[in-house]
Amino acid sequence: MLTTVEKDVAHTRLQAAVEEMCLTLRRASRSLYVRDAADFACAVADLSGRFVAYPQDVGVSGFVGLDLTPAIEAATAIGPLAPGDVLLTNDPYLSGGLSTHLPDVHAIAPFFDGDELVGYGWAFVHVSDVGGRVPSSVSVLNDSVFAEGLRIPPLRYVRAGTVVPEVEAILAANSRTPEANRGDLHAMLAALDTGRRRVGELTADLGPAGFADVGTFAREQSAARARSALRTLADGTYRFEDYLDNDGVSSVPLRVVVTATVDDGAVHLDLTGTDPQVEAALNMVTFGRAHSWVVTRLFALIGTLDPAVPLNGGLMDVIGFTAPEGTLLNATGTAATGVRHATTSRVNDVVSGALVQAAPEVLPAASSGLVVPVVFAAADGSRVDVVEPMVGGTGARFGADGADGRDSGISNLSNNPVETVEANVSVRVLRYALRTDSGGAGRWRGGSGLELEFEALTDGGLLARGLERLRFRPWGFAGGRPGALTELVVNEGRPDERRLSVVDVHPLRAGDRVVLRTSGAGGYGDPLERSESAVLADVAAGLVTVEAALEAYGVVVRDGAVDVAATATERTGRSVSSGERITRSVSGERTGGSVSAEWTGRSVSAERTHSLGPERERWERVFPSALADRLDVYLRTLPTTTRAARRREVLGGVLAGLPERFPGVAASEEELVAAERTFAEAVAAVPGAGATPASATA
Amino acid sequence: MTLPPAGRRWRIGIDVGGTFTDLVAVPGDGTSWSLADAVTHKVPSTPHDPSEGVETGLAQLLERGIAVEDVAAVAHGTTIGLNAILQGRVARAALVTSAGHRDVLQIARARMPRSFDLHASPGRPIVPREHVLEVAHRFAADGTAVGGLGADGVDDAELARLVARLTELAPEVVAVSLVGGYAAREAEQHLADRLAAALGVPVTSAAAVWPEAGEYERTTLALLDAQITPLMTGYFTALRERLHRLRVDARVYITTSNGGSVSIESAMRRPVQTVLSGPAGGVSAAATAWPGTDMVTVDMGGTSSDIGVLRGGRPVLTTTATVGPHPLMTPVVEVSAIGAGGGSVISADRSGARPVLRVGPASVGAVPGPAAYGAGGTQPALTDAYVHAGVIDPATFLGGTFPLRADLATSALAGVAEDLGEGSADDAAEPDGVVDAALRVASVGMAARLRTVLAAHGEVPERYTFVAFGGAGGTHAALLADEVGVRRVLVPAAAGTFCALGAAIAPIRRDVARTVRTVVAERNLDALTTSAAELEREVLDWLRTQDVAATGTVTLSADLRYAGQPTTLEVVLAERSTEADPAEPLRLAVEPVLRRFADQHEKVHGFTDATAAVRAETLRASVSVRLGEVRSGHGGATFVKTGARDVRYDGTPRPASVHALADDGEASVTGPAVIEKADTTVLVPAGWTATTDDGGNLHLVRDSAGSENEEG
Repeated sequence: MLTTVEKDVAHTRLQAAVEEMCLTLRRASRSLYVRDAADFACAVADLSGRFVAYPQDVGVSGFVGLDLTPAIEAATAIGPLAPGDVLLTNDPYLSGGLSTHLPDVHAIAPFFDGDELVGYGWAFVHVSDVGGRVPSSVSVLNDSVFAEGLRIPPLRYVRAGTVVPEVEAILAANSRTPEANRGDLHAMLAALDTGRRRVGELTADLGPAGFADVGTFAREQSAARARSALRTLADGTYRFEDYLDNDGVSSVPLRVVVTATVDDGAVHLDLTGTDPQVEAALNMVTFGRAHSWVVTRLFALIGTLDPAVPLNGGLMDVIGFTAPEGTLLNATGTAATGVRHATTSRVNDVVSGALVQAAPEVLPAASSGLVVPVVFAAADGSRVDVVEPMVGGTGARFGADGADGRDSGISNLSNNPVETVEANVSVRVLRYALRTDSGGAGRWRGGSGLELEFEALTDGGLLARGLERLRFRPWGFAGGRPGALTELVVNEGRPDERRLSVVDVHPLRAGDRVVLRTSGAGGYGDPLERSESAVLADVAAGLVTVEAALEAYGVVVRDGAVDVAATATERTGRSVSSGERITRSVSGERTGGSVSAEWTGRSVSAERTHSLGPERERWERVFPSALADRLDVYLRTLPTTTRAARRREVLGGVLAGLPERFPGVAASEEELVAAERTFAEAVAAVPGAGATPASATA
Repeated sequence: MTLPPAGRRWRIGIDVGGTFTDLVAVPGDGTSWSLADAVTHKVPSTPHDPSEGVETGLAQLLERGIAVEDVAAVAHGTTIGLNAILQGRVARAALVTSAGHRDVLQIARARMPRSFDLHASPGRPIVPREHVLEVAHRFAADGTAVGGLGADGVDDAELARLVARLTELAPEVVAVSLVGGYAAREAEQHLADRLAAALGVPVTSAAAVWPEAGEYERTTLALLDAQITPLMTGYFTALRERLHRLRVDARVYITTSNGGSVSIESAMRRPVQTVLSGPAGGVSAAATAWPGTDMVTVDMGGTSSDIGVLRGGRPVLTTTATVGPHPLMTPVVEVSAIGAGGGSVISADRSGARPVLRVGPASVGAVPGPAAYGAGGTQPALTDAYVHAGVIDPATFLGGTFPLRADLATSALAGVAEDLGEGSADDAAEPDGVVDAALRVASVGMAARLRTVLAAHGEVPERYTFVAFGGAGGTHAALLADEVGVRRVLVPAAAGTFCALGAAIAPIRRDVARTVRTVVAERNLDALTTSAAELEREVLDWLRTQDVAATGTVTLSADLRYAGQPTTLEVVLAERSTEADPAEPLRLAVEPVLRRFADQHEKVHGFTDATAAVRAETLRASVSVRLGEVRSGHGGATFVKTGARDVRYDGTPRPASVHALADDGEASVTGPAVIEKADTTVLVPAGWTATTDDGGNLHLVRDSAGSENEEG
């Protein structure tokens, strides 16, 4: 039996081992994804299949909760693992949810002490291309996993220390970038070798049983810390929902719903009510289990409350999950998954939206909620370059404004220096700046979005996957207003102006100007309570205009100073702020779980705490939650592959009676009344419409 | 300590630390000398005006027998620029940048400090947004002006408008950094000159400071330089006056972040080059004292341990260092914090399922210090563990000048044992257990970070020699070495004043760079050679202003990459003597450069690509002139046994002999043993043997090292 000190120092050594693995991988790799975007990771798991050591700050953090077990079981069904074997897989379905889209290639190496299996090394890399319909393999318009490239079931890429040549040949034949891929795969093998050596040194000291003890110890330590962190949340059940702009094949938005239950330091997320899987690449494969990539907001929450918590699989011990089969967050069959980050980004928002009710002084309002790599493709297809990876800002929270123009919510990407872009890509970057008046107003202001404007110097194409928040604003909280909507415009103000909402490859002529303005993040608290000096500082900095200072904050700025008297008149003259009411309800809610029932209904939680913006209010007047839930219950009785089309049919019928750009534009009262009726009748007509929404299956 | 011989020429190195100002005088007549010839002195620092402590220390050092006319040079390392930046005590600056790029500082490189942190904040930009003004001027990657430029580069109406707005802001300093400015240095400088003339305040052109692509990093560098210029000019002027008062009219050099030093005039012109010179000093001293050796410096101070890496005796530099949150794109000696120092707090962490012992990151600080100092501290520090373990003798600590209280150390450690409580009854319930655990936790934690730092360079620790200095460096170095498989440890004679020594012996050095972006091929060779020759001329012209007689080396290098590859490798193009016949033109050849790049690429990245074009991104030139040689040979000094006591450093009490350096004693000491010196205590664990040399340096060698024991 090892002492605590021995287990602790062994874990420190294991932690160093995984970081050394990552550095080995990064050095040996030759792809942009690894070096620039840090889209890779390495870790060591014990026989539970969960990670016992995971890098704290190299590579992708969001995969800390992955479970290797299903992929390993799939491989051992064919034959037992032997020393020197390395498994490879990239298919979300065949790997049991280990991979989340095909470009992410995962490698697993069993580690032995003599003949005895003690654990696994793991690495993954987002490789440049795995074949499929489009270069780099990912497009939202891919309609099935078969369009997305080569599917690799868990198989032996290395057998007894030697790469299997037939496997390598198949991989090479199915990529547009075979050499770069091979480099990345071999970089993973080098990392796994490093891991094998270091784990070997540890097991030589500790023995297999000792190594197992260390793993259990590490996961229990982190689980206990996560639990104490989450115990600071008020117990109860909290619901929230939000929308993706469209389903990729039509203009019908997708709804993401969560019901979060907080109970003594554990959080269960029930995604029931979320829309069916779609025929575009927005699906996520979870097999209905808590998947690391879907619960990263909880990791971030734990990391906020306990910054020093060691990252490992123990974090998953405090997280429960439910998602019905055939939905966006538990896709089955052959649904495409390439742009699943847009969907998980919205999951982050609904988890925040639910849990901000449980910890209103910890969680922020919605962040801008998008990651858009803006890409310029040469006309002849010879080059495809990212101009800038665009994000927005982070939501305001109790006590602090959000961050302007930065957001690590999905991935903590570096941008490209404009000077490097201009030297390598045929564009001139005219503006790369914070976007004025975009952050949601509030006592604490939401982070500003970004504005990127560039001119094409040659003919070419524009790509912008992950474009979101053009239709539904990032919400504010406790009286804070939502942020501004995303805009993507080509040749703004010119006769040939084009406003874009879904981009596959949009052709550009030399001289065309593209401007992308990303959404601002949500504000927190009543804007009328924001200090005059803070408003003035924003005006002086140029982040808020004089007009917006007056309209949103009731602060009159004249000649660079606050007009105190006019401001007082303006602020007191406005009707009793909703902020006050919200502040009361928030503090009442924090007293415990007894009021939770009151907070589960959308009519209470959404209206009294979240500011959703006019678009969403219009949308939800026509498509209220309760009816959408009922429709969802019905859709789930249909065969999986027909559900999305049926939903489109029902909603499309209602939208046909509304203005084309609804809910972006207002409809007349008559139109709204008619649409409400049409939807209600459509739902009433579906079989089993009398059933209560099954949101509490947890 | 013996008096210095009369009539000798001296170089004096001065390092101003938070607590002490250290001075070291070494022979400065260009001959070879041994570290034993160095004269050291220590005085309290004077934070309100650091030059006051410098004057006091220098006066006292001179009183010890160095004639003022024998002082050949004074080399000074200062952290006042660094501290001013970290504490925000800098001049009010305005930035002028290209239209559309006002948020270059605010957006920075877009990353958040941490991923899993909903409260993460990028911090305040170095200049607030309202002090950033836009101007239409900007340049394409090839340096051509685009957007609103008149024939001479500056439009009068635009300039007038800019001057009016700057006058309103009334900044103390201004930086101009235009998009593409690195490729149009003269145009940017011209705008800066016209603004300076109109405003009457210093205006810095970013491209003049460092003409390399990367607008955020270049702009930040220029602003840091501008912001500390008034303060540094004031300080250097005061320093010169104080030296003048002491009638020291020797040349004054200021140490720089690249491990070298420059004339005080150079430092005043470009103060940003001095900001990370402090930590570079120790690495630079090791480079001069033991040339050609693969070394890791381990500087274990009060709050942390810092390491630097020397490959073949050359300090490893980095272009991704930071000052606080701000990037420094110029090459600086890479120094990384790896963990605990002597003042790191030992505590019980009860946040997990079971209580565990932690060492650091909190520190007891200078006041109250470790419990054993008897200054009221009740939290045990690593130093208390050394005391309880018998490694440090309370009576002879720092040569007996600072007696410690072992009983207080033990009772503070007992407090932690109690905090660890039931959960850890198995291993750390007694002070002994706490000490065993603390030493192990500290060693393993430092070892883990050290491995990671080296792994980033594709290296493993085993083949390196540790050079251990700082208060606790010698105490812990062999334990750390055992943990990572290092078999040789050097404890320099002047371990306590090693950074001042670094200042005294740092080479004269300057780096310059220029973005070129050219494919390395015969057709571009002439253009590349011309650019390299220009850079060479730039550093040689600079060298002439430095007043050094000795001959040095110009190293021309380039950051190369395969086309389409994201990262570069610095590859040496040519090394030339500073005395090369100026009429002898620089000749570069494509083939050897490509071969060197391929070799280096194979070593660092594990592959080569014969089919890909190789691109040069940045050209670099570095001039370095070494000032004399340090002799270091075996033999000479010996050890005498002064006592014996039990020490515990690996969980078991072991009888150890205690030694001091003295004439006519034993040639070596075998562990377990302790060697007590005036400025540090050196632990020699079992399995290690210590010898010393004529410079007074200690050489610890792990017995299994076999025939590889010879030092460089």
